[in-house]
Amino acid sequence: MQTDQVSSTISIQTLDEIRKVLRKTRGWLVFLAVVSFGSTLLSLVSILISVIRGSGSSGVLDILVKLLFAGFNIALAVFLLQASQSGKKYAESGKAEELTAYHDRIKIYFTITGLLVLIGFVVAVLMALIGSGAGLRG
Amino acid sequence: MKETDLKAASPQESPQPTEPLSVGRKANLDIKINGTRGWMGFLGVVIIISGALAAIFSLLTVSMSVVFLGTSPDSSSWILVISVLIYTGVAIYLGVLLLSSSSHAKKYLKQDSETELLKYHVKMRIFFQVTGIIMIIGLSVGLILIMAFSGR
Repeated sequence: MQTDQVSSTISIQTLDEIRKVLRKTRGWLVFLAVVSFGSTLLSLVSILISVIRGSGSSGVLDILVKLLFAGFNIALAVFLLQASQSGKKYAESGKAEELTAYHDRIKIYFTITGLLVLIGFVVAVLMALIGSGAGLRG
Repeated sequence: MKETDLKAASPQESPQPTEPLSVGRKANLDIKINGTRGWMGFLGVVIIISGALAAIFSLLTVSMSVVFLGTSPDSSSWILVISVLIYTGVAIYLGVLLLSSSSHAKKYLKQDSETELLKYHVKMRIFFQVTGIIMIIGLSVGLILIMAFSGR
């Protein structure tokens, strides 16, 4: 009887195909992460400039929300980079633990993105309700 | 395999043998894929709806000015409509890719089909690839616009 360590539940042929696919995916993951880092850096610089200039249009809450989004963007970019690293390692070594690590990072990436979209919806609905309430009173 | 064959093979062509996936690891992988597929489906639907809404609002904006003001849409309106329609097309394509990827993951988990697992990975690769290409196009267009306006 085979032990848990040696019995493969997915054929080696399929796993080889997945290795090939991950080799092609990882480059794009790195690119997306770098672009995300770059755009976040630019937005942080613009926030810094607006703070230094003391422009009245951007309040403390506005800056905090922008910083929060920048933080989430950096976190997403880090997860993409980590997924890319795991994908690269799996494509090169074929170790099963790298495949699960890749999927773990991808899962976190999509979960955070989905949660951000949900939070965005809730905030938009709240803003619309508050805005319409103020409009009715005014 | 002969030594010459090993040298001839590219280092990127799976130089090490693939490790078999144990039952425990597969169960772990299934949990991760199950966690990913729900959010993928959700994001797919959101992206498709956002694209459709953008198209509807841009067409409404242009048609409103025609109906209520009686003016024919100018070139800037047409540029807006065309760019929004391109955005809609891309958004729908990306949304469909995510939904399809999520559907393959669901089928893999239900039927334990290896083909579906492979399709799931392929669709995800296409999604990231298309997103990357769109970013390259967006950055290029942005750069061209900046250069064009700074030259004025």
